[in-house]
Amino acid sequence: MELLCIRQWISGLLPTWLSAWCIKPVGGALVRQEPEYILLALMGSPLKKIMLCSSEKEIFSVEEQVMVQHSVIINNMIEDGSYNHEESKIPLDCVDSKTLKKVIDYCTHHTHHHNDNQEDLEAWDAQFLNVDSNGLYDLLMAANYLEIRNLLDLIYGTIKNMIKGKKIDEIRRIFNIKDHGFTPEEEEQNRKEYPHFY
Amino acid sequence: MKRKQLGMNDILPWELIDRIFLRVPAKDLFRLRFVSKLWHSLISDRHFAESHYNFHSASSRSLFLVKDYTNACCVPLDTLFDVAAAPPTFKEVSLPSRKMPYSLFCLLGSCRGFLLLEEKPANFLVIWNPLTGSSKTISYSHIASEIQPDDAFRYGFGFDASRDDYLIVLYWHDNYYNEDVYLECFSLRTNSWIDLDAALPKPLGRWKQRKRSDLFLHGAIHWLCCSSEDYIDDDILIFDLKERSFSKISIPKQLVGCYPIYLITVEGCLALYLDDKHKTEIWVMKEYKVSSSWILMYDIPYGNNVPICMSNGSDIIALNYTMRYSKLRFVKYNVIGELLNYSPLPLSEYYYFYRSSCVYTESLLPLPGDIKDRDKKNKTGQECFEQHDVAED
Repeated sequence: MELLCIRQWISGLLPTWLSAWCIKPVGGALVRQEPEYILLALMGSPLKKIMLCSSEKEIFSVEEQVMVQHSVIINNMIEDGSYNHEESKIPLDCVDSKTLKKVIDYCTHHTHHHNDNQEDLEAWDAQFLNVDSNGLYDLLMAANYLEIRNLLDLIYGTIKNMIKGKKIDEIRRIFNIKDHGFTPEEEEQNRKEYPHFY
Repeated sequence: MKRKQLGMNDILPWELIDRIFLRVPAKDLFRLRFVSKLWHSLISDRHFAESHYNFHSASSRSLFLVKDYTNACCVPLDTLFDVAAAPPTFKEVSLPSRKMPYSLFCLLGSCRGFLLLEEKPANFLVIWNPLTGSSKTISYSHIASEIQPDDAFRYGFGFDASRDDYLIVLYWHDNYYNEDVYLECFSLRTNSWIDLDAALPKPLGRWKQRKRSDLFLHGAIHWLCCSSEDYIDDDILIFDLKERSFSKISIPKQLVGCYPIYLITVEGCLALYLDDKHKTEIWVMKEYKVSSSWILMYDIPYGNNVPICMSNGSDIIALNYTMRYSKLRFVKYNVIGELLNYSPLPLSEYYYFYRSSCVYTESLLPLPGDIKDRDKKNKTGQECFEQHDVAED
């Protein structure tokens, strides 16, 4: 049976009391650990995990394989040996906890569901990006920092679609551009010359 | 919360905004320059315009058709047969004509978002970017007035990347019985004519082709020509814009003597097509300048086609006209010549279209030497020009 199926089977069997075991202190921070891993560890076949630390000093544990597949930065760190599984965590000072969790969600979903059909994946992506503009920018910057190609392309495409076909006043509203930087004379001149743009 | 008051310009670094803009169509970007000063400087940047053009040149192509002597329309090609997309929009565009006296335009070619037009009766050549409105008018009356008949001219239009310059090449024979061929080349950056007679290989022979026979590819302009004194086209003349030198390659033997054949590009490769009204053959030179790499890629059992571009990797889109029914339409054939689909054009007057059409990619590229505040004075293709920048010889 595939490891994935084993995990899902186990998590279905687990009693809730086991979840209480799943928060443990590691190096002064609290680490979340999925229950099924503990059981697997007890069974003797642990999945390699890495620890990512957000700018708010919260630690996220995630499968190494998932992050290595998606993030070029993390892949490079692991390959060149600068990451020590036993004790290190990867500090991501540019990414806050909320965004990091979303990024991990994206990578995890795409690794585990990469065999799904295109429509389902696209629907999930659309739902995933159903966030406010500021959340979208944070995701974009995190994806850029971690060099996650497919997430970057997805966000670029989404923002491009938000821009396409819209007039200037609407764009300023959508992207919350309060100060356009033109002098009142320039702005007036532009509006007079190209009224259909606005 | 303070963060809610911030917008895209405050949060995202300009490198990321730049990358977003790269993906936005040129048409939208032209308008969005006025959203904010930051957007204006990002979009107006020369290097950005260059990267943007390169990003879109293979995928966002449109066909520009001159409808009659003063009006044109532009239709995007990428969604032409896409059932899911909206029906193709035919954008009406006014050619940059003077109000008095009248002008008649003929479309000669396109390069990097610029179109080369011939303006009669004034004997002007106009380089025009329909999206930004940027244009330059060049007079060639010093040559034209001496030449009879009109189709003794051949034109070429290309971009010399090494000098950041656009070149227009004219060559002609000076009267019907004279065998001599002359060539002149106009450089936009230096705003002057360059004499290239010495570089021209002789003898060049005469030609039967109509004006639109040039092709710009791989930094060189290409024309069909004859190596001997008869009218048979059997070579391709290549003018390298960087080296300012000529060379020749031969066309496939099977096409020598066939008429009419035309030069086109198919997916970045030089190609020739033969349309004898009953069938259309498209030969592609798979490896540039390697004569032995010509292959017959499409053998279509229908005539009256003008191939435009490839689609889906192996299908070919063409303009098809049937004189009998006065119908003009877009058609798509697959690699074995089967007609896959067609899309009629909502135009009744077809006569000049297929001869006066070319594939072009909208771009924000400026003409060499365009100064920044000229931006405000330029009008889009929707409006007529008040003033031309006329270069006289």
